[in-house]
Amino acid sequence: MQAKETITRLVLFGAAAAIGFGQGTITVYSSGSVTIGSTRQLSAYVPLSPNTVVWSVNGVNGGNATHGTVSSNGLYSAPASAPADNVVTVRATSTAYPNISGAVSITIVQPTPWVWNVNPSSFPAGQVTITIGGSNLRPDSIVKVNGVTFAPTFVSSTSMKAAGLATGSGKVPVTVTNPGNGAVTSQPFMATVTAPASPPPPAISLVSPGSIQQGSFSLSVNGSGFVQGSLVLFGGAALTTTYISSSQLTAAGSTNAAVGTSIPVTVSNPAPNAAVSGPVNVTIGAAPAPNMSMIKAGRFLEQAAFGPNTASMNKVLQGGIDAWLDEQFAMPETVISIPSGVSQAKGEYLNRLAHAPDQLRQKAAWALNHILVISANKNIYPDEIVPLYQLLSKHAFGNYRTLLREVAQSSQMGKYLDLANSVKPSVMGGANENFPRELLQLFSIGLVMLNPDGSTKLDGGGKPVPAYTQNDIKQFSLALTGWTYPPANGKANWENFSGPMVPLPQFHDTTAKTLLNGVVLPAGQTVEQDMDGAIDNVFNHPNTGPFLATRLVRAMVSSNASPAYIQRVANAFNNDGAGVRGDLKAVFRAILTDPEARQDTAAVTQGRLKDAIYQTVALVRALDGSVNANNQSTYLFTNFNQNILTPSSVFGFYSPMYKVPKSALFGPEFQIYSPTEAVLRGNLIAAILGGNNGDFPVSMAPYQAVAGNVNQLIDKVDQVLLYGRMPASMRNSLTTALNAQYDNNQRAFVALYLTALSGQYAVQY
Amino acid sequence: MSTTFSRRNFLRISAGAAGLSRFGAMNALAQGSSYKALVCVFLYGGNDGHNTIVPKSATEYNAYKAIRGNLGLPDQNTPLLDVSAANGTPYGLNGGLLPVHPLWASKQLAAVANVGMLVQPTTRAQYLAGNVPVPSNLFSHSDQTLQMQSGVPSTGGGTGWAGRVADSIQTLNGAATFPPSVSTSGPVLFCTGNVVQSASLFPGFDLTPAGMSVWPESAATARKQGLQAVLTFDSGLAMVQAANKVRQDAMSLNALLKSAGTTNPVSTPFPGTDIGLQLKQVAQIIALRNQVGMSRQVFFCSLGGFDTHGSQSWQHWFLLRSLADAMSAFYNSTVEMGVAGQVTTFTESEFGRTLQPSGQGSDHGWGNHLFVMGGAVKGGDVYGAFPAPALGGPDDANNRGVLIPTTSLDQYGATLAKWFGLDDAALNTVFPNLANFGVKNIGFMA
Repeated sequence: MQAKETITRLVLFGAAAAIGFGQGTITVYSSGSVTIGSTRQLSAYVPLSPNTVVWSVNGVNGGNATHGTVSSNGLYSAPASAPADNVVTVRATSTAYPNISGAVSITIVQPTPWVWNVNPSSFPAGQVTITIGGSNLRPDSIVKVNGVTFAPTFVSSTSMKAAGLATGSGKVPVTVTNPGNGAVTSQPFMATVTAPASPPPPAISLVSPGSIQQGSFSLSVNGSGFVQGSLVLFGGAALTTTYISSSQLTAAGSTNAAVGTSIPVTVSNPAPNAAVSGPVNVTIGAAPAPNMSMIKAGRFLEQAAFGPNTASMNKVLQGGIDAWLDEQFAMPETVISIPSGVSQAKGEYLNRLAHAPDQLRQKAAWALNHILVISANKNIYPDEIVPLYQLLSKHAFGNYRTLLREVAQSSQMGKYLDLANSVKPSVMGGANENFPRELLQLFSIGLVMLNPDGSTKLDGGGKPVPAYTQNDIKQFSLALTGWTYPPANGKANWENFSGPMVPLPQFHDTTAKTLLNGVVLPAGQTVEQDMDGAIDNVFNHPNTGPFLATRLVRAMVSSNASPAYIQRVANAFNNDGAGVRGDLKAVFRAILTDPEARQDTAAVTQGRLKDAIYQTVALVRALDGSVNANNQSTYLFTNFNQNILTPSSVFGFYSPMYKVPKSALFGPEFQIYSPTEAVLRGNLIAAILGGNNGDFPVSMAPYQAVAGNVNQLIDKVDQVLLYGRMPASMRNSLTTALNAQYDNNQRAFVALYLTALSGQYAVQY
Repeated sequence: MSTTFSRRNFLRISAGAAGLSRFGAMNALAQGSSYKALVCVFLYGGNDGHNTIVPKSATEYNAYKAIRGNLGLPDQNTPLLDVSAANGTPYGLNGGLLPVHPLWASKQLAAVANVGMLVQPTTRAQYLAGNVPVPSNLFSHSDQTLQMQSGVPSTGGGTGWAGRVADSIQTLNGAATFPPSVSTSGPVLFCTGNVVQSASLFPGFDLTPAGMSVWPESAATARKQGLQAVLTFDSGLAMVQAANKVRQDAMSLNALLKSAGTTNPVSTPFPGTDIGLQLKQVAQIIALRNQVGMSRQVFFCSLGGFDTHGSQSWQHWFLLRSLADAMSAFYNSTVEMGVAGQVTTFTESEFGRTLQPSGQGSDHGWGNHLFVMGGAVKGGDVYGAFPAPALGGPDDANNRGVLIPTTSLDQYGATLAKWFGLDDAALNTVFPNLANFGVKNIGFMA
């Protein structure tokens, strides 16, 4: 057994050592490394007799688990893990002669890793991730590239990735080391490190807009190779630049360069890869002529209608103002029905203002309603209020005398101003003065004598001259007695709104009445005759033309019309050209075709603040939206100080004489436009534009569709809301705000919302 | 004459507490003891003055009780709280007024008897003969509400007497642009002047504009900055500038109101009722008076439900209790702010009610008993002429105990306005019929 194997090995390995009986040496084959967990067969040449040996590791017969074991025939087994003292001595000692032995050194090592391939095998200096194919790769293998440790990601014993900073240039070693006691490093794989890539220089593909005006401007620059810190240069001068992405920058600046010049725009990248792009030219253009025809049509429809929508704007652009007026005057009247509740009446009212095709009639009736006022705060049922609106609509293009007469006899006004059941003086009381007073003060001649141009007549002492006295009121009151609610049946009736008031002769004062301007109503006239006389008296008063003209112009066109304009309108009231006084069609045509109304280049004091009802309806129309007739949002208008159909008094929502705060200018609508109303109205606009108010649905889609290009979006908003009159600086402010929004929907909302909140949109000018 | 307003200034003042400087015009008068405020609490519906203050001298009380029948106090809901006039005449306040009862004895609360709209002094004989002018539509809620607010005895006038008062003393507010005339219950005629606008500040609404909060924060900031830029651009068009100014004022007010809770908190607790929140809002605005440079302010609050045609007993007590809780808290807040003697609160209602009941309630009347409260009030007294309870008596417009006022609203308002700082010429402008009355100053203000 043992002897026989020993002899065999001796023949195989051939090495010999001196042998002597009782003396000589044992030679053990051979030293070397043994990977943990593996074995190595050793042999001993023992020229002794007997030639038996005993094997030991580090002096321990048979070895141990720490330093490895050796079998009786010299098979060394390395331990599972390498000890710190990983070089062990394995000795064969003669059993006969214990002082004779031979030994070898065994180095216990980690498994040897191999790097077969590296991918990529060539990479530029800098951050790189390589994939190593090899063997004996372990999760704790250490990867070095040119001596720099990379961060490993173990995949399998044959594959791992490593990421790190490649340094050097040319061939560099890639090694893998299996660490621990007896660590072993692989043979190097020579990879190639190339010079790092330079970033591409900046390049411009588009500068937008390509033409700008003198003054401040914003540019959008598209291209490539932009970095944080890139600057847009305008003729070499750096602009305030905002980095959007590697392919887009925006910049703002201002210029006084002459119109017609071309200025090169470049992009300059900062160090360490400083570079300047090639130029793209931007030209300085003349400020564009505003599109006057769009301004003309838009302004006209603001006055003659509840603002333009797309259809009406196109109609006026194509056919002109006169044709539109003719068509509107001839158009059949939209029927006004009496709904079951006042709330419904409010919604139907708004819906009619927004959608009725006879827009001019609606606007005219609305303007007349500033003068002939009724309110649901007293007339609380629809039949007590809506019929008055029917009268305003019916007679909007008729004669004011007719309108006034029918209003005076209406049961609605009879309730509102207490003419119904006003009786001749008796022990029960005097004739009611409420309607007669307002007939004079608010519906026809006003408090003071007027010049034909609407200015106040002054007496020799420079004081206004009262148009009437309390005595006059009493006389009118007597004249207007004797009406009651229908049907009469010979007795005074309580409230009944099924028709106009009816006469009740026994309650009528039949004395003679002295009215204004020397007119005397003779004694013994009927109820109707006296009312006719009273109405005629105020209708024919020289004040009435300028009084009405002032109010209608303020309601429709401008709060500060020139006296000459008022006079022209008053003249049309006095004589429509065919000798007729009070022709409202002539009055409205005069108002709307007057050169001052058609003055499309805004003068300093031109225009009027839009009231809440008008502005809301007009905004919805401008966006081609709709106003719900079953409107649940009408309550909002109460907080706007303009409770629909419900002004707080017969003076209406705002006084035509109210002045812009701390100003000499008239601004009636400012009376209901304090900061609170402004914010509340703005919040409704936000709700409408945000699609959060189902009563005023509008589509934002056309705006969202162009919102990817900020200039295009602003153009569209400008056209629709301002008819192209948006000032350049507002455009710039919007551009900045829009560029900061998250997506197209946000941009569309912001463009419309900020424009709608501006004074330019708040005012009809 | 709006001043050009640089963007830099506007941005600076829009930031929180710094928002104050837009309104903080140099106004020496706004400092210290020169500040005054008038606070009207309007009781909508027609408060029954007969049961708010009850005469307790034996004869008067017995007459009252006999006429009022089941409506007479005290009853199962409402005790009477003893007070007396300066001359010792005893009265009883409706038990609902318990929270302000102590102010009578400490002389910060007084009653003004039988106040109402009049064109000129009017006797029963004259009224029944119809030979003197009287206010139009006397028993109509809408007409009388307008008249008590406009101070004009016909349904005429598009301005309120407080608005006209604010017009008159504009100079005392210098160049300050904070609204001088503020309603906490929506837009109201009372606060509207010919020049000053009525500003309504709803409790809890700080004028924050919608559509300005969005993700990311940079987008929200861009919206606010965009709006400011759009509003401060000088278009050269007067009406456009004026409109922009209103919205700029709103943005400044917004900053102011948002910071009010922290810069000048009012720590006096207020009841959480509607009228409590309104008076709390008034207190909060008064707390800002120095920062906004205001020297004179008028306020309007209101409480509805007083049209007690039925179920008067408990409802009336409950309404008065709600009112008194809020008024008491408000008075305490003026003490806290050191302006108790500079703020005068007074009630109005469109009319009183019939002394004679209708069922469980009473009908529309005319003259009414009103109340004034404040450190400058010569309290603990009953002013004017308290009518002896009677039906068809000398103060009765008919035979149901509808009081013909013996003190006109003009006199009541002129007394308040005089204390407020108006001279006689201004008083006559504000109250066109004041000249018809001999006594221009009832004397309840120190």
